[in-house]
Amino acid sequence: MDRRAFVKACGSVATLSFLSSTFLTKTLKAQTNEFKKYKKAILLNKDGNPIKPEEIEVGKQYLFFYPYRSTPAFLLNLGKEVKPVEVKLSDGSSYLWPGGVGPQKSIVAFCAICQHQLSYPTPEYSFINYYPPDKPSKSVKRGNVIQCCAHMSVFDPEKGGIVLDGPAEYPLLTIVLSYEEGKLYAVGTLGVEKFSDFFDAYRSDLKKMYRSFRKAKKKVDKSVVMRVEEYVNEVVYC
Amino acid sequence: MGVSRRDVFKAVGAGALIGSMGGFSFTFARRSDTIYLPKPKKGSPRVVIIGGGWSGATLAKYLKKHDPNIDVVLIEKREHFWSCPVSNLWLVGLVDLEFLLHDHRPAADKYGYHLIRATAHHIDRVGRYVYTDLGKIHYDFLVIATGIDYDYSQWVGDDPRDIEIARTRYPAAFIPGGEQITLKKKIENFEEGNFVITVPPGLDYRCLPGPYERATLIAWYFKQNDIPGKVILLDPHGDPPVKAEGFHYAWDNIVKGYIEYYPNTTIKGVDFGKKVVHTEEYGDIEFADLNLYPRCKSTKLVFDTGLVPKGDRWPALRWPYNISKVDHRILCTGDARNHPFSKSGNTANSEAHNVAKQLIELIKGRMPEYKPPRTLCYSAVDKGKAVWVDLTYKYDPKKNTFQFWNVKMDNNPTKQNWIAYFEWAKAMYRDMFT
Repeated sequence: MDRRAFVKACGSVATLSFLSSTFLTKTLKAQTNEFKKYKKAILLNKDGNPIKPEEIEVGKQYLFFYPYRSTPAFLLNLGKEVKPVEVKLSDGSSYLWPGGVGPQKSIVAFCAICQHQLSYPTPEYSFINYYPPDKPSKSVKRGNVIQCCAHMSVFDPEKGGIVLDGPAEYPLLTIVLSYEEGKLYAVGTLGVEKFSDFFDAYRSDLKKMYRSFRKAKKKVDKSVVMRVEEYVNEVVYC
Repeated sequence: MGVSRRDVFKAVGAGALIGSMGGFSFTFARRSDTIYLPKPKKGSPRVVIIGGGWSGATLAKYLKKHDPNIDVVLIEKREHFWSCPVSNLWLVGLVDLEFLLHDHRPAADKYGYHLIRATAHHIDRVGRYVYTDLGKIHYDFLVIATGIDYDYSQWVGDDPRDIEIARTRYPAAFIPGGEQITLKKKIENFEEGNFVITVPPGLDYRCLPGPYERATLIAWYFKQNDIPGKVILLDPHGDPPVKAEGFHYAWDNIVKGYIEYYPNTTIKGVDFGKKVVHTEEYGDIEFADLNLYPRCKSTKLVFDTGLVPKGDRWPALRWPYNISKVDHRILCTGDARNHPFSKSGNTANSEAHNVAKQLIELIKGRMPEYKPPRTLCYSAVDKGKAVWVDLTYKYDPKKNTFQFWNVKMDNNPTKQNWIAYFEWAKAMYRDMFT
């Protein structure tokens, strides 16, 4: 994304309720590749109606697909206000993570593709999962984390998806949400994207699942939210 | 950055050429001919990597990914990458060979590193050339990632005929390829008696839990197929160095009666004629078949290049880095290093990620920051059950030592660990080859 496109994208999201002027200013000053605008997609419940924040239970992990039809994302209600934080990357750059949205500002979303080696929830297995406070990860003995059991990377959903432990180099990619008139929308991504690597690595799998690779890469304008357990046959915890 | 067809032909005029792209395979060059390869830019620094295993394959990809201006040449003698991790499962039919085999070519084409199918046999450190059976190639920095060789001197002696018997009749099978095929046939054809497996002494052998996982799975295979045989595991250690609890659980519960564990064993020698292993503590152990895994050492190329101090088995490196003490333009990575890390695929992959960044700094004439590698290692102890250990290392600059750090372990054999074992491997292969 070039600077011009970035400024244009920021202009269009500036109206979103969660974006403070500080956030926008700091983001503009930050690296121009951190925020990427995608199609605005409304999040729906299983009945096809706009999902309400109260339908997202605290301590449960939900999935929706965004910005592409085949790229899963976690939707979490952390049960308390989640404040914006500055996320620092290993190259010294940083960006301001906007925190939670919704009435309690407690709802966050992250891409569910592990930033280390791209493990992601499939209908068969989910190696990357959210561990609520009352069901901590056995390996790191800590709850309220997202952990990938393939190589034990651990991320903090309350602090912009930063890496707490393990080999991942980058924080989880944030799916930027907006909350408008009681409805939740996904509007873009914030952080280090690995969609290109994902599509390269899983080309044949995605082709089988979506019948064509092109369909797998289709961008969405609406996305159904579901419990991870409803989508995945076996949730693998560690 | 890829290499265009036009670039390739531009380079031909200067001498023999080994094409890096599909469709080109000029193999007529003499050994002394110089291999000319197109560079991203005139004056681009060249890093030559010998060995396309877990370390070399990762390093080639990530050097190019981080800095496309660097000209990267990977020299690998095998047609395909063959994974040593997970191969114990293949030995007993729990995974297909296709799972272990991978092609370097897609990553070479995608990231633009040159892939030469050749054997490196000599390094000219003064002129900075690597000699291969296809010609010689110049380097600015050289990475030797040639893995391990076996040192039979302790148990078999120095007679080349005995060593030949050990290598071919009773292969260690921790170097992927033909020796693993031999071992698989041995397991499948085994009828009765003692199937003896040895664990090398020390901690500088490839895959710390590998012999224990292998012993457990072969015992499992005998049990599944009603083979009246028993695995005898001769171990110089008092206990498995890692995942001991998980292995003992398996031996006591899952494969009981099909395995006997002999800890603190001092092997004095092997009599191939009488089919006996002589031990200090347990006397002579007869074997119907033997998987002789001896002490490990550097490959011949590392010795011949003068990187190994007299009396040692590994190259002298400037810790914490992988840089040779005798030649700052040569690095030894993966299982070829002398660091006290677990010689494992995961460690090699993790280290190569770090070394890629370090090399970029070295090329710029700067000393890089050091970051230690990580080791995550799964072991199967039953069909459908596995255990794991996860750790990193901490370097103490005052003492110039390393120690295990942030060690986590799950010794409970579970189905979830088994599933994660496969995803661990698939993700590693993705990281190297896509």
